[in-house]
Amino acid sequence: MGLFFCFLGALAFGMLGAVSKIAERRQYAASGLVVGMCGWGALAMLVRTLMLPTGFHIPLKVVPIAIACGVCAGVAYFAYQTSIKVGKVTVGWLMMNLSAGVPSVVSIWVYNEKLTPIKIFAFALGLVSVLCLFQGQRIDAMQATKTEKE
Amino acid sequence: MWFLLMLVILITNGMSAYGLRVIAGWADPATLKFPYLCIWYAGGTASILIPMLFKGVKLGLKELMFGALMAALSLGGQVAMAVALSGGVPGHVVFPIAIGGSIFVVALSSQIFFHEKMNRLTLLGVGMGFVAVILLSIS
Repeated sequence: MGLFFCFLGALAFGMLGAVSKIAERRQYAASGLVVGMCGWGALAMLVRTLMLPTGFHIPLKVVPIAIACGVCAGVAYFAYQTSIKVGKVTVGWLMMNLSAGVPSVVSIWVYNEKLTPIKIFAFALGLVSVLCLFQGQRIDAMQATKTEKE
Repeated sequence: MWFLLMLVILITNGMSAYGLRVIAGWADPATLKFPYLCIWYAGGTASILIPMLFKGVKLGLKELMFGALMAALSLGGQVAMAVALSGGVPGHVVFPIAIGGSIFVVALSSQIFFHEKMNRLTLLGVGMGFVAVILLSIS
């Protein structure tokens, strides 16, 4: 049963990536979509929080971190939604997920977390992947310019 | 423009998840999770809504409604992962399936519904990136 929910999670997140492309094809404004997504998310979380026995209780020092990270999330999704107008949705979505490497690097630096061989290999592979994706996009752009000239 | 957007995605999306790592050292994340996420989503809303208001850009109803679907999918994914974890499935199984699977779903839909063509280098990059994401989620 647990595994079923893993696949359900994959389907939900995957559909989120694909639905963003549908919105782009329908020429919906990226800013409006992000405001809608985050706004409804905030409302749902507010309702869920108020249902807790403790209510809306959060230490004050957590608030600026939550706001800063939320701002980062909003900007990231806006950049993703904008990028799929010019680039491929798979590459944009992959980049969203590759970004998991950033907190890992920061944790190694700030919290002196152990740098395992798997992590080193994953970082190296991620870096080569990003370089390939950038070069691939460059080739596509050059070909598009060539076709336009012809 | 595309390169800049990719760099923005890499840095900002990576940092957006970092808060949970920070607060884990301060308090029990289980009790803080919902109020934290409420403020987190509100921060995301404000980051785009405030510049929109300054520029005088109107918020469209269709975007707002489509955003509800996107929020449902985002929250649905989170809930499904949480249920799997609480059901006893270890994190090193849940995260690679959920994250790797989502990339697979997007790649498949981009081929079937959006007919996006990828050159060999991009295909290689996607393949290597897919493996890197799986390894990162395991580690």
